[in-house]
Amino acid sequence: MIAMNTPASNTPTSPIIDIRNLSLEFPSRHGAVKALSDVSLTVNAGEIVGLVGESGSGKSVIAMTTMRLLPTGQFSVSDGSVSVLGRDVLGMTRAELEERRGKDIAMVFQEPMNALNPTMRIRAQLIDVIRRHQPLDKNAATARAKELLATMQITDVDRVMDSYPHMLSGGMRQRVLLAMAFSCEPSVLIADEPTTALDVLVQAEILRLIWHKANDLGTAVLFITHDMATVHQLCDRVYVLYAGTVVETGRTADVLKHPAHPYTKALLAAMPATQAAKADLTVIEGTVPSLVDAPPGCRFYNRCSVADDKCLTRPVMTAVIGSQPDHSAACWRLTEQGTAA
Amino acid sequence: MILPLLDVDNLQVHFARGGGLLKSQTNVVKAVDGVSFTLSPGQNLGLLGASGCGKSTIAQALVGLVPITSGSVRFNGQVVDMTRDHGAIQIVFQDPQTSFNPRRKVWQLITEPLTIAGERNRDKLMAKAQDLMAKVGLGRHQLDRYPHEFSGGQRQRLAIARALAIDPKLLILDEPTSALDISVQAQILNLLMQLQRDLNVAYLFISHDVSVVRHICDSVAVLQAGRIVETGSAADILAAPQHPYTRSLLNAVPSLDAPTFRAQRTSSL
Amino acid sequence: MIAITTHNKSRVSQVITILRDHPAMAVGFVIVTTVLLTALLAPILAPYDPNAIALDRRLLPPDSSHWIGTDEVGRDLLSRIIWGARASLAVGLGIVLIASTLGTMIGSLSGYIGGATDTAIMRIMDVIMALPGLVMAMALTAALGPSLLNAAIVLGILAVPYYTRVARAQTLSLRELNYVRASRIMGAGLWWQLRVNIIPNILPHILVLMTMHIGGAILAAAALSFIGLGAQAPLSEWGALINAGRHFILEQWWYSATPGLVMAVTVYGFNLLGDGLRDVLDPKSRAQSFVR
Repeated sequence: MIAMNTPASNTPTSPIIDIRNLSLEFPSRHGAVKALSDVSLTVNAGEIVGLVGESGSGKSVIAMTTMRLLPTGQFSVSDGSVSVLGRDVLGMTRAELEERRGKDIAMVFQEPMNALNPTMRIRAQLIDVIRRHQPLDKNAATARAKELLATMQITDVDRVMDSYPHMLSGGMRQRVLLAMAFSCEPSVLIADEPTTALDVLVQAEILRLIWHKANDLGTAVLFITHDMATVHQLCDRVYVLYAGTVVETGRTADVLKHPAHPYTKALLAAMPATQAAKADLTVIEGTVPSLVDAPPGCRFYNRCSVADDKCLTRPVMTAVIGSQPDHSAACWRLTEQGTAA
Repeated sequence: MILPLLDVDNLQVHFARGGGLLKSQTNVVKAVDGVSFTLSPGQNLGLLGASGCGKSTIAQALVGLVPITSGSVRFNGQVVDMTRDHGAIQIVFQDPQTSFNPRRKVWQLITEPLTIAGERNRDKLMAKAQDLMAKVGLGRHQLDRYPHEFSGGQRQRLAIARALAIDPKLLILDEPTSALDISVQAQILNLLMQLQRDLNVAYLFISHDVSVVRHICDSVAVLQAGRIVETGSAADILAAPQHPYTRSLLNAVPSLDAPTFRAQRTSSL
Repeated sequence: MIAITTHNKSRVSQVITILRDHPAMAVGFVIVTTVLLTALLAPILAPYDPNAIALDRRLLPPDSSHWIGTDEVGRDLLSRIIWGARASLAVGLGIVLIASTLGTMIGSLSGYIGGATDTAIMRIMDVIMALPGLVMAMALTAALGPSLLNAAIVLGILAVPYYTRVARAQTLSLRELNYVRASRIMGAGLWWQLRVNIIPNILPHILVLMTMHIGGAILAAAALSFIGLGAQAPLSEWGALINAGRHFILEQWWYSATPGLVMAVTVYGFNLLGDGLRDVLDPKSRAQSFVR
């Protein structure tokens, strides 16, 4: 089966986040940095979707673009569209954006300290967020704030409410931010490495919290991470990103058990957990190519163990893997053309 | 039985924490509270624990960055005071960004231990630098560059090169791959394993990452609140933990073998 | 200033790029370069000997032979201003060099050693900072004997605490960085740490402070000269020139006004350069001042 760059969505309802063939550049003195090339990604209602990639793969750029948080004038979309709940995000006015953010779409970041105002108590910040989108008086908003914190498994709600951000631990701050994010029961939450800066034990609690809260409210989640194991436990579907391109996508179990793209395979084999103790780990030789003047053809070409000259000239084609229509990989060798050759 | 290379006996490191601007009372934080372990030549011991368990404080005490409150550290059978005896134990830090003076060239940086020890002959230093670069898989043409021209993984290689400059018998690795991407982590772990085969250096491997410790370490000590709660062979402990804290640590870490959250929810219903 | 950034590109092209991105700094750069060149080339640029007295041509208004006129003993004012640039810049630079050298040494030492030594040093610095600067400068210079050199020494020492504070604060944060700790583990002593790891890395901050300070230093030295404690006759210096012209301010206003204007523009140029340099070398403090 061959499918060329067709969005893999076959769900009856329209997706909450729908990114189609998005190409985005950052101008720089050395030329345009092609941060994203032809990225298509969907997040459906109630679904937890992982976006996994190493540093520089563009995973945060996708999140920032979907939230329209990139500084105006410092990027340009050369192709494609981004819509949230059927509405074009790239064309929204500032007022529309502010209306949407928090209400339809919320975001949590890696470093929770930066997302809180250090001079305001948690109480005031939470109430502020709640009243921005809900017509509640101060008492009702306070009650709602306490209720939200309690659902984030915070036991001493009053102490947290009266604290300034610096008085809380990293894990507690992230809980507060999750409470804010979930306060208006958004349709989708974008979580950009929300546990990376936290301690291992706290990480696990926060991950479970996000999963259960999203599952209970029916909130879809776009979860950005560099860790395949987190994707495995948390996500229903996954997109594997490399150098600004989606190299493989599918249901998590399919992608992790039967990786098709050479990059996904190598990434999994580089994890110590997948190898016998003291055995040499699979190394991906070379480095990520410069995204300035990126050549046509496959971005993974220079590090791929099975690549040859044809990979440089052929357009990247998406192959459907196995019998799963959701599972596809961007490698022409996996298409009928490639397997026949 | 072979004489242990490192013998740490009842190590205590306490910090006095001031009670604030006007309060004169101070409370004592027992960051390391009676830790004992031994490490044989060429072996790897993993210190595993969550943040604040004292594992990094142990590393800093062993290299003399924080004073030891009580207990003894024997290296090669001799009691050492690392605030005075330098060189035998070297350390590689977690953060490759701040590990190098940005204004010095790579050859100066990786031979710094020799320069500090008094070597001033530029040819000798250069020869040593070339040798070290080859050991860690970097090219000699990179010797005249500055650290900012290197990627995080390459900088960690440089940190290893610098630590190896005076042929230490023990290397403390304080979360050496935590700040790196998975594919780069694989390169560094492979390099560490290869150097160990070639040089028979022992590693004290400090980490919160169970899969990395399981992969690289012979034995492991699990730390909680400044104390060792469980110690033994890495394969045994990480396969069948006995202490509840070790179990919770193993359960907490996301793993490719663990059931998915959705499966857990479905099965609990 | 270019030695701060270490890239492979040629330093000249780096300077051009930086200046193009910071137009205000470019203006400052041009002013400062012009003044520096004027001071350097004074013997060539000055149309007359600045000290050549011509009693028959006293207090002439500007004309084609004396562009800014002459003073009360017939010396060419333009020549005196051009030569004055030498004295004014030299004394400004001298003050800044004395203050920055002492301040950097004391601050980095104090910060690296820490403990009681650090506390004692910083208390002494606090005392110096609490003194009324110009009054102290006047008193001390008068005591040492009025001269431009003494003025520079006194003003330099009084400015030491500002450098000490910056150097110490930077040292305290550098001390905790891995590379400083790594050198300590290798057995590096105090001298190695200061010479290799600390001072080279705090120099950019010191350099920014120097550029921001030099304008003020030129003004302070001019103030001392104005009241007769700095430059002594017949040495030409801007502050002394303004003072000399003071008696003729109503009739020959250009006498005082021209050196005053030249000095103001110079100080402004140094301030623009300093601001720009801070933005380039130390972007964080810009964000802070923006918040404030």
